[in-house]
Amino acid sequence: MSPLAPIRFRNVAASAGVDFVLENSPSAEKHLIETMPGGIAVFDYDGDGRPDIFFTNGASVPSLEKNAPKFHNRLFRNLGGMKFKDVTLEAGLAGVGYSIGAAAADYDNDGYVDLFVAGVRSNHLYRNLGNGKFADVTAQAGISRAEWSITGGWFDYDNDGLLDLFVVNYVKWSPEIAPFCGDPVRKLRAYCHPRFFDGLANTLYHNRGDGTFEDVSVKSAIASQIGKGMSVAFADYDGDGLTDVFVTNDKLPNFLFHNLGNGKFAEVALEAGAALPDSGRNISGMGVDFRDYDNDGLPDIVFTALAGETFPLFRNHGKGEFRDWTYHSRIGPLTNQRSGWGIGLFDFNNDGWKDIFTANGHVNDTVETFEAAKYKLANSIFANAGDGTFRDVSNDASADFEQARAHRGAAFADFNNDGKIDVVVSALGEPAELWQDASPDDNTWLILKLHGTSSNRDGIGARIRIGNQYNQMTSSVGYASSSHSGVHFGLGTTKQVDRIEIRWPSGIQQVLSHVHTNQVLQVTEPAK
Amino acid sequence: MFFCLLLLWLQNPSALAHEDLKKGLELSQKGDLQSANVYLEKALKLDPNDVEARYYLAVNLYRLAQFAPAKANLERILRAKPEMRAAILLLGAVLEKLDDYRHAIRLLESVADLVRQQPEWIAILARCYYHTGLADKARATLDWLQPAGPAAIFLGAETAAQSGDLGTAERLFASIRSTYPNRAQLGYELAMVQYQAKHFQESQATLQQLTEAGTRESRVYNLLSWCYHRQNRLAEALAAMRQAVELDPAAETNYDHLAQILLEEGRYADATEAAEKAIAVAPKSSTAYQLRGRAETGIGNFKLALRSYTRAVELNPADAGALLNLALVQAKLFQFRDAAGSFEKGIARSPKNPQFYEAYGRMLLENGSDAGSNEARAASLLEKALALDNQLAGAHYEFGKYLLRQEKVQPALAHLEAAAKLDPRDSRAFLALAGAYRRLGRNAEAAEQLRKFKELEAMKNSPAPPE
Repeated sequence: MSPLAPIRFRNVAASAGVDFVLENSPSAEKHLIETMPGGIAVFDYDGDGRPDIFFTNGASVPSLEKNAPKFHNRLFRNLGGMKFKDVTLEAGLAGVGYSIGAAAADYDNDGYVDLFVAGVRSNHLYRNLGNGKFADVTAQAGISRAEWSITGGWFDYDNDGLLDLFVVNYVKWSPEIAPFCGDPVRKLRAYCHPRFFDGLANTLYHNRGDGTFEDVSVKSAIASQIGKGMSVAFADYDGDGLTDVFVTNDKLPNFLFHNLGNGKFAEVALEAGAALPDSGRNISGMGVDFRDYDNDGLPDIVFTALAGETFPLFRNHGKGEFRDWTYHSRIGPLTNQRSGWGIGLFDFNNDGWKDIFTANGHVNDTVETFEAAKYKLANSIFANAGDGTFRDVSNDASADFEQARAHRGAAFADFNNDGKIDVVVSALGEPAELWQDASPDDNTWLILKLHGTSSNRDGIGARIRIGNQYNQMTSSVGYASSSHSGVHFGLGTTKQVDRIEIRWPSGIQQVLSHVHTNQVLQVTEPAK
Repeated sequence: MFFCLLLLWLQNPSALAHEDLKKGLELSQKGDLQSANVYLEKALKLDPNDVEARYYLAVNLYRLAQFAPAKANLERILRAKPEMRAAILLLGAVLEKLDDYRHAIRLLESVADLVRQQPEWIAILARCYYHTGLADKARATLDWLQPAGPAAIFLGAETAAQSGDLGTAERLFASIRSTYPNRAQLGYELAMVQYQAKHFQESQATLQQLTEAGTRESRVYNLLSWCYHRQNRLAEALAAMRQAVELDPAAETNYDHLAQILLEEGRYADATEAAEKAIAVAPKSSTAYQLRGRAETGIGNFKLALRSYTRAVELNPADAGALLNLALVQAKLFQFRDAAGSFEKGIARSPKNPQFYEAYGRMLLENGSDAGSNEARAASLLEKALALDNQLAGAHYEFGKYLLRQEKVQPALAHLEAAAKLDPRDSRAFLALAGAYRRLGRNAEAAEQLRKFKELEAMKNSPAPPE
């Protein structure tokens, strides 16, 4: 095996001032919601060019009230130099209810990134006012909902230049529904399997462009499918210029909503080979990323699951067909004993191949009584060997990388402008981790920050090619989390990129030539 | 004078052999067959041509279930005395025990008049016919029992039942309902046949007649419980089995069966409790530990299941089921090395049991750490499983999937089609088939397989189990 460019991480959360502890309020009744919080959004809320961090947080159970400061959602402003400051209260983002996930994007095209927060029976849309403050515009926007949502995702399904909102809904739940699960003989209570709860359809809101949204779930056929949604990722998997939607489901087949271009979607996961792994078993689909891992120009799908299920990788074979590539890619044996939540396909060593980071931990805090699986786990890094396979390089990352926790969300960004992708991770009941990418600086990089004009302001859905590498602008990455920080490319030893091709959601093709590497490139969509 | 004559007689080998024969016969009559045979063999040593001694030796050997030496002795007799019909009859019976049914039939048919004299011989000939697929002849032979009375008919019914001719068995048992002296025994046997014939309601009625008539036997309530269970009447099934337990609290079987019923109903906690009771009354029972292991697996407590299956294997190392379950739970707990060891042990002990090869192959495919060598080994294990039993849907499915992964789509298709045909309720085979057809561009067939997959999956969507 040839050596790969090293990937190193060090946890700088404490020195960076990121002192967030995820409060999930574990109870004797083992309410299912307690296992699920931890979504993170990374976005530049104040437009200073530095990605900030927003953590969702739990609440009291069963009241679902944030009745103490420890339950506040938290916003940390990036001060530069890997230092952060808690600006939650001044930003007005402490939140209400039991929050689970977050999705950041500039839905009103005003140049300020807004925030959607999903939660248990209460979702919220926070409009960024541009002055460091947010306003809860949920009711005016028309997206109030009393179901249990895990997260949301922003994309422009009709390419009208306005970002629409896809909300991932999980199951019907209330504190009164608390069956005893586990080992009744030995009175060992455990969190219930999702089969004990009825699933929900997801929701699609169409952005009217006037600050309000229309629920088009039924009209678009998104609501025709009942699932137990955990995460969402977007990509144009068939190259027709329309963004498609992939949703992982918990112990149900995944959904792949093929965008038909007429305001409707067709659920084609089974037909496309992306519903289930080759085992044919329903697995616990968790976080997901939907990007081209093997540089063939076709976005692939990788998602986390629980121990014994592997983290499946579906390779896009073109013509709308995915194949279970979990074992070909070696991800299968590398992940079979792991349980994961957050996930991201990013090039952490800038060698030109996207690697995989997973935030690990099992759902059930009592799992070790029953199974060989561990509840608290260290995170993982799988380095892309460039030949279609991955290698587990987690143990080489650093000594503190082996810290086992019940990790949940993960979000990705270059927080210190060194061109390397850092990771922020939440963990139930424990401090968040901020993993600074400390890999050697030998390789070069580019980060493209897009400014749509005809397209949505964030350029979400834009597809970018540099050489044989492809990536797309999206903020929907991983579990319940959002990474809104441009589009990153690792470029090996390339000093200057000859050609960058961008296909904007509007259909506009843009070509940039002779671009120096190692820079954050601001790209504005040209006129038609 | 007399003393001298006696001494002379005793020194005469023939006279001595006769004495041994006599002693042997006496002991045989007393039921001490082993000692009897010592004398009979002594007699034959003194006079190897003593047909009488050899015949009685063969009889005893037959009774002692030593069929091979019995056969050798009878064949020797018949070589010397081919007209000895008693030896022909006995050899027929011996051959039936040695599974040489055709030869047995030939011999027994040649002495049919002797066969007809004893219900036991009639039953033997009938069994031979059943074994060779001559069910009509078997039934006709069993009809010879009619004049011999209810006890003989009872024997005939048992013979038919053991041979799987449940209709005949039921008919024969029913024909002596008013005449057979032991009503409880007859009723139970009739109910058992009805149960085996899946006539659960009739079986239940027969058993209820017994209980209403005052029969208080544990086995009656046990069978009644199964009748209810098969009719999805769980509460009554449990009540009946608990009655069976009450009537014979020391019997492991009732606890085992209670656990089995509860397992089938998905009531794993209660099944655990029943299995614990079985273990309490039979601490050396591998079956009881296996049942507990199954219940613990159902609860999802694989660590406890590992303990139970390990104990089950310790108690009965020859039990292939216990070893297989142990291997499976070891794999579930990621103890792949131990699981491989258990699978290897299973293969060594039961080289013709395809389940070990299939499960071992599947484990290597799913959990291999070294892709190449593990996959090759897995493939050869699955091939071996199929060589042993080509009707194994699971092995066809796994091997088909393996071939698909290797991009060998056509051969994969053949195996997946076989899997779907052999187990049309397993949705996974249809999903894999759809993938194979899609790769071949046979989209209509792929769509059809997906339709079947969805149909089967929809059927699985049942409400949550009680625990």
